[in-house]
Amino acid sequence: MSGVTARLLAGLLVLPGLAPAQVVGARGLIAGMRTTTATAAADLRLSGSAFGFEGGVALGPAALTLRYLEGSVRNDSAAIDRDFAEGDVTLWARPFRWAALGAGPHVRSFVATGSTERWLFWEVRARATAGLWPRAVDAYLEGWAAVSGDVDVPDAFNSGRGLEGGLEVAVGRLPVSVRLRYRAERIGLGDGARRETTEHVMLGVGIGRL
Amino acid sequence: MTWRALLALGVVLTVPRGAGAQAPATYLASGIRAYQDLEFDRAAGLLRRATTPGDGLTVADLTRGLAYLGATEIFRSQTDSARGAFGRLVRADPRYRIDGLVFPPEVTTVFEAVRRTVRAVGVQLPDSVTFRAGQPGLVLDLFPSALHDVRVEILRADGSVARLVYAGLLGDSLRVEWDGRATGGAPLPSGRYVLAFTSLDGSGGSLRVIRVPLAIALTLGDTTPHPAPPAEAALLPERAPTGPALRALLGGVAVGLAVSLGPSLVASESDLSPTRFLVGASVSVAGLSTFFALRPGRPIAANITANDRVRAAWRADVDRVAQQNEVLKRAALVSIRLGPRQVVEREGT
Repeated sequence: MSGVTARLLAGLLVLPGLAPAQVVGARGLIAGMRTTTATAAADLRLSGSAFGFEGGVALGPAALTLRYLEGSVRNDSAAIDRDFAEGDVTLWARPFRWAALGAGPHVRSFVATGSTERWLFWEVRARATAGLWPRAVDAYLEGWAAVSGDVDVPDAFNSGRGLEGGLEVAVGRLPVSVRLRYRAERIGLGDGARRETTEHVMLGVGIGRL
Repeated sequence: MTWRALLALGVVLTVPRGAGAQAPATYLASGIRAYQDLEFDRAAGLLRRATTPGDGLTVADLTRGLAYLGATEIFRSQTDSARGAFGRLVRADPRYRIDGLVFPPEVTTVFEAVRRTVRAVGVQLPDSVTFRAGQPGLVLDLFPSALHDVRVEILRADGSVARLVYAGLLGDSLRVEWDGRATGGAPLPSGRYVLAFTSLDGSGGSLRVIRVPLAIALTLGDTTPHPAPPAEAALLPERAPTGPALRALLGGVAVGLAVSLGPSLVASESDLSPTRFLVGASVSVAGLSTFFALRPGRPIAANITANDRVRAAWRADVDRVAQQNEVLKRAALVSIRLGPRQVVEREGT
């Protein structure tokens, strides 16, 4: 976890004098992760686990969220092992109680022996929430598309899109919530010469609801 | 027709009408004088004419005349006639007593014997009275001729008893009071009633009834209308509506399907793992579970309890207002006008 993001989250959580309309939340994340790098030559699949956190603050119809994950993925048969870290910051607007639109940067890096790949995307997001049990269980679906990208690999950024959906459950009367989600995204590089597909199954436990 | 006959007719026609009304009093005075002159046969005739029923004597003159008639008949050795006269006397005024200074003992003895056998009640009533319901407003003084059972009742127009004011043995004078209320305690509504004093024989049969018409007017204070029952909008639904359950089902299944099938629109199927189905199924099951938990028509215990509290509060308000109104009604102003009394005797008494 970078020091900057940690300090930012800590700052958000201790914002003094929060008005009642302001909501702060944070949760720890554990994720199972799989990446597929498909090229004309071969498909390379790596899988592993990651840990991280997410947090945010909402003020009326606006909200700011951030997320950070780091871990490692590997392919034992190919003897490949990579560390990775990724994070995103999104500024949200919530025109309806059940819908939100957001935009922000999403960064990811893969660290292999002797080289580091850095990815940066600017993404727009849309989220819809369906309340299942009032104030206790919500289901949500979120889709996004990368409007621009910058990658330090030989193939240029072409396209990026993703989908996330899951369930958020409040635990009893406590301010504790659990979120289970599935996330898939695909990044196209070059003229379709390479595509990176990343899947996460994430479980988050924390305080507050984002 | 001669001039004398015409003169006599003129005299008859010009006699004042009041002269006829004075005749019983004249007969009475003449009868008493004849009694005092020991002319008992003449006294009997005059007194019988004076005390003829409906001849317009006052009660005081009538009882006086009957006393002298009874005494006269005793001295004429007509004891049955004497008893008859004394019986009429007792019924006309049950309080009447023969003056021992005026009449000899043989007269008072017969009178007392008759008085003890005649069961009648004299009553003293006001012409009208106004009082607050619940207060002892209508005062009734009862004077029995002899010891016997008496009932005093307020009767409705249909003859039913609205209130039993007194029932029991009466041997001496008694004052009873009526507070304007019916048997249940509520003031008697405005209307026409009858105040009945009934003398009873030994087996409870009616011997003599004095009926006094009553015109009752009840003036109520301003009462408060009962609070309206709680409006539907003020009550929580006691049965689960369809909407939340259906929204949970549709939302959960839709998101579950989107999580399961949506990723194949984003990435190639070959690049995706089946874990998305696990998460998608979890969301769908959550929606389905919620649907059954919130199933439409399910009783909502918390809302039922809350509504019961609202209804109980309303019922308490109604009871409070009813009690306040009852107090106002019980304190209503009762005006009673009493009509002329009518005496009904059982035949043969």
